[in-house]
Amino acid sequence: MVANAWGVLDAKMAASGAAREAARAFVTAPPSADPIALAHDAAAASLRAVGRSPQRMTLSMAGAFVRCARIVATVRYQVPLVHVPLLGGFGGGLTVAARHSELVDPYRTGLPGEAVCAQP
Amino acid sequence: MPSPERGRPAGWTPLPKMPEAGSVLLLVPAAVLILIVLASIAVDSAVVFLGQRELANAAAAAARDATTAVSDPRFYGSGAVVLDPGRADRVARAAIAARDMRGVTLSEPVSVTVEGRQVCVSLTGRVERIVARSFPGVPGTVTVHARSTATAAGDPGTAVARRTIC
Repeated sequence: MVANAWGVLDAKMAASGAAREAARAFVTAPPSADPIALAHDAAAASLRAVGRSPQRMTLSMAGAFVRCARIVATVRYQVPLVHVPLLGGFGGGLTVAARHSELVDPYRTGLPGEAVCAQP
Repeated sequence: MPSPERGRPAGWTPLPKMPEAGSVLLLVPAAVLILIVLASIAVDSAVVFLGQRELANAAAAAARDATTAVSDPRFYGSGAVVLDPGRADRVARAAIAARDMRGVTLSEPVSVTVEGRQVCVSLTGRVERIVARSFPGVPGTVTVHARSTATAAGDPGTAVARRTIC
């Protein structure tokens, strides 16, 4: 039970890191790129870096890619019911979720519109 | 009438009667109780840890958002990247309000300190334990703290001491 509880805790932290990376990748995306694709790639890379499978992750982004907009990245990750070292996880198990929100920089270049949030 | 010794090898002698027979009746409940206490400690520690991480993430996100509050008059007047304390405070509070913090409740006002182009956000929260609050004499809540510093980029000429305001 303690091992499984730690597995859930670890997955929660991994999902939290993935959400943060996704939000960061979204707000810093080049104007010509697809910010959602970049966010997805960043979240998957973050999960891979901590030894988790990106196939078990779902990412949803909310918010527009314009100056001053607040975007919210939500990562859901399925934790296997049983995890056996060297063999991997089995079973659907639980779903942990993590959210992270970030502002699109009002002074960044390449985006349309005015930086209304930067006015005093 | 069948003999109770039938089927046993020749020379078999029964063990002497153990005088401690029955003590397991006391040991098993004690062991189960110890396991329950250890499991409850594990659960409560996990809850407090997650609450502390949530607070730390909120502080980091608020500090990063607050660095967007660059003072326009200072920038267009002298070219210096300096944060507007009032706006930074508002942006940081909005970031925390927009965050759906689960498992931790803010117990003290949000503290936002601005110095130059650096901002520090300090948060104090309360995490409710799940199991321990059922036991008399054990505090049901734990106070956790988090703080985070962020520095606005774009002005490499101005040196900023690391974490001097937090």
